[in-house]
Amino acid sequence: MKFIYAGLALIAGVSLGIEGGLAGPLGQRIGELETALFIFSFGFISLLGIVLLTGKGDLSQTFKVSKWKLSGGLFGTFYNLMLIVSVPIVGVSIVVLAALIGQMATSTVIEHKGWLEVKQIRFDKNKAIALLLLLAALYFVN
Amino acid sequence: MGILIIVLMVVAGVSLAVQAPINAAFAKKAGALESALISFFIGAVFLLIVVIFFGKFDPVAFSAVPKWQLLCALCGLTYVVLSILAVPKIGVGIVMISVIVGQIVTGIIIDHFGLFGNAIIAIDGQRMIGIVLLLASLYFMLGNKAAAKQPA
Repeated sequence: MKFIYAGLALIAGVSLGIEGGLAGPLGQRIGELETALFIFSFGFISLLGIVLLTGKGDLSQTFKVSKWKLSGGLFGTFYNLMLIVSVPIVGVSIVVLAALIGQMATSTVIEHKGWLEVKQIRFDKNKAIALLLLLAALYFVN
Repeated sequence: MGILIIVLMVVAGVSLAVQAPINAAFAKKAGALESALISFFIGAVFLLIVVIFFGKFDPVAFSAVPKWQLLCALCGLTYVVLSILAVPKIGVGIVMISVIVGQIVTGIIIDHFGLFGNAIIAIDGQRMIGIVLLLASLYFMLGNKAAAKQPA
């Protein structure tokens, strides 16, 4: 059973890779900002349908929680825009690796400090080795 | 140009890392799908404003693109929904490893064949070394975490 969910997660990653491969060239045809807007609008409308049909959560929390908890989408737009701009210039692989380095390094700091309500996980030797290996990977793939 | 783009992409990765715990904090209150919905909503509204002021929305160009290029949006949605399904079952660590491996292998294939109208960047010995280093990195970064967070 677990095996199936790991397969689904793998497909999720493949989808992300394909998204970059498709969105880059689309951005060159209709504009980067416009492509990002299309992706987010499509995602919003589809998720609206999914939430209305299957959602068990509490959307009214949107108006109750502190505002910073709603800001995730803004960070997401920056990532997507940069993805669309970068893929035609350096290719999908380098884009994925470079983003991964920024992501891993930042999560390490966020976890070390316990910011944004995450469980605190101290920076250790393993993480340092992992980050250095990632940098080396980017160096070789580039 | 290449180096500047790589640096900007690292910064984009930073914003992804900030987004994840923010959406997770909201998901604890509102639910995972609901959190994704609000995230896409805020992003879409923000981009709509940006496009109105700085963009050039052109319905003609939009309708002229090959329809398969529009599947990029479906792929983005697939990622969001599948990872929301998988995380409670197998834990964040294994999902992250699977997603990263799926993403990089797909990226290398797209680059190698120049799929979807992208430039061809062939796999060579250096790229293979890069992949091995990435896998080693994932082992050090998430190997223990994946084992620890895997629900019984």
